[in-house]
Amino acid sequence: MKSSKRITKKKIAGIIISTVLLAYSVTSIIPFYFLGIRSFIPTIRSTEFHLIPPELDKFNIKSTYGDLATYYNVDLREAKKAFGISGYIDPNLTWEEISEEYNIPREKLEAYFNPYVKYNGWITILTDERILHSIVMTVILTFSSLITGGLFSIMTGSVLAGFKKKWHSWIYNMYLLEMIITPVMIILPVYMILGVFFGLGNSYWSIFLIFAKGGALPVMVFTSYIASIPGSLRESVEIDGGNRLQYFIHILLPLTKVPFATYAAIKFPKFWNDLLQGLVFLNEKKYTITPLISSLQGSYTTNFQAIYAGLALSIIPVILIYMIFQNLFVQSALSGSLKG
Amino acid sequence: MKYEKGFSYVKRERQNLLWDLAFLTPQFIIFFTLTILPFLISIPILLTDQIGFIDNDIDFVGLKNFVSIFQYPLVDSFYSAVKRTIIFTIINYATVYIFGMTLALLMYEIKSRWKKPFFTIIYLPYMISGLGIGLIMLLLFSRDTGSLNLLLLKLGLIENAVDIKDPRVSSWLFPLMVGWRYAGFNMAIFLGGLLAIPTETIHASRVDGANYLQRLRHIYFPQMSASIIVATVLCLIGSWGVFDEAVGMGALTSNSNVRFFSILLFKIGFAGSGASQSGTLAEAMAMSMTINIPLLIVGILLGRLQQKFNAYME
Repeated sequence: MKSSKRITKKKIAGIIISTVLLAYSVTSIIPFYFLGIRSFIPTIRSTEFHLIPPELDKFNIKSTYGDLATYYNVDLREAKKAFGISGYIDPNLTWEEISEEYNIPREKLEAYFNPYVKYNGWITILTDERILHSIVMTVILTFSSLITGGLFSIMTGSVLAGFKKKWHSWIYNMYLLEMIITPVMIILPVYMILGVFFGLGNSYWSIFLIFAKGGALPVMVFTSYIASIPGSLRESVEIDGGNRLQYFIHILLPLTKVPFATYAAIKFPKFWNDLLQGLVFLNEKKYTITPLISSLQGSYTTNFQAIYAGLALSIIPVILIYMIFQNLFVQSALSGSLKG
Repeated sequence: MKYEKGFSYVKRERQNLLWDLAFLTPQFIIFFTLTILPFLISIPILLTDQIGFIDNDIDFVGLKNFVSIFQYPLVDSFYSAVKRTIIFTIINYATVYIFGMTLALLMYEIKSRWKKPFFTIIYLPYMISGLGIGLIMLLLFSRDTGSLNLLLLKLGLIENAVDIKDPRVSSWLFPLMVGWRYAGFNMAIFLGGLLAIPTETIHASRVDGANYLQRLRHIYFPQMSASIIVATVLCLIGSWGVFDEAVGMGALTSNSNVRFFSILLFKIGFAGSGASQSGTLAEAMAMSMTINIPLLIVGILLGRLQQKFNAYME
């Protein structure tokens, strides 16, 4: 009797806990959901509440030539080319008048302009050359520094593992110090060193170096993992007359896939999302994705749906990578191996 | 024979050392140059009157910069930024427990197959950029267009719209949103601490009839000391370095409610030597040292304490 009471009590507690966690998770999703919705809502209609994307505006034949450029960022030069119009057009002419003058069927106009009017945010973002350029550069920068930094950290870890010499632990502690040195704390002197002394003021190299410099987390992850690899492997290579480099390339590197995944899962979003170094080291034309989105507020001013579409676009790759790695990552966190 | 053995030992040791150096140097040079050296090179600069990064006329002024940050015109912006950052740090630290600790304790008790999806979703906000968090704050809580505002108004849960641009509102809502971003991160730290507690200890306390609150006080919290210190250090230092989220809220342009210490440093340091110059580079570095050196010392001391707890537990 008593034990059955205890079981029901336990069950109820379990249900309550699950409910609280479910409520929190749903609340956590809401901002992402609204971000998606808002990238489809034109600024004019943003004071209305929409739970789902509303019935979107359609191209209005009564709107003037200039309106389309002002409100929907249509490239009018391209539009003129598409309709075979040459010469000057008064921006105050309505499209109704233009269609009569140049004999363009209304359906053709609607087909061309409707997407601009409906999905203005996404079209603005996806046709903006700066976005494509910055995404390509962000991908190159993120992956090259992930791989280089990872490789360097594995090399560091391969020496430090086991702390065979006293000075090994000194070096290790120096790397650990990075945990409490935030980028903002040292950004002024770092710019002095890279930008002024080395002349890497407007160069992706400075960001690459900052990303690949290693630090507390990568060195910790690789050192502790390599320490768990049996030393007999290394001895067997030495007996066969191989040197440390051969051991590193043929034995150690293939074994470090698991810690590399942990390192990549944690560092990828950091590199991808980095704002500070991009703002400091790059000119506006060279901006990586996050600094570029911060500057969109300046160039699109009130075109919020374009800004939100850009933000959503920049989040997608991180979420994809997270979903790929999360199985491994969540597993290791839930088993308690991500301690301290 | 004996001589030969000793010789080969020395030779091997030397070879080992050379390999060690060959493997360590590439990263260590970069790391040292970009993490430790910055502190060393700021020392000579902050004793001068250097205006910007390129300045041909540099004079030695001693410790004058440390005085001038407490004088007109810098002192006002310095004090208000520091005050704002302290308030932010306090509320942000509270969210470490409100979100991170609570979620970790709940996740520790739950045994269902939903555990993994919950973890994945709770951790998700940490994956977005800080800038994105700032922009999303505007998206949710702008007075007239905020989606969450409009939702809550429609449901009749609030009478007046929340206005993120109101200094009083943003002083608590901003750290709350930043706390939401780090919720999963802090939860992972605390969960790591909880999972390291030997199950026998918990079983024994259950057999002794300890209720949940007693277990919390006498087992969970004391055994989690190391994790609590890690979360504390990271939150304390991270709060003074908050930058991206504030930029997302417009701190670099118009929004003065989120002009934190880091924003002030950035603005003075990278202002260039234009007419709008509010302070010199040397003054910015002096400011940075005044705040960051004490922070680093606290961080190192707490780190030592954490290692002691870890050693004690093992």
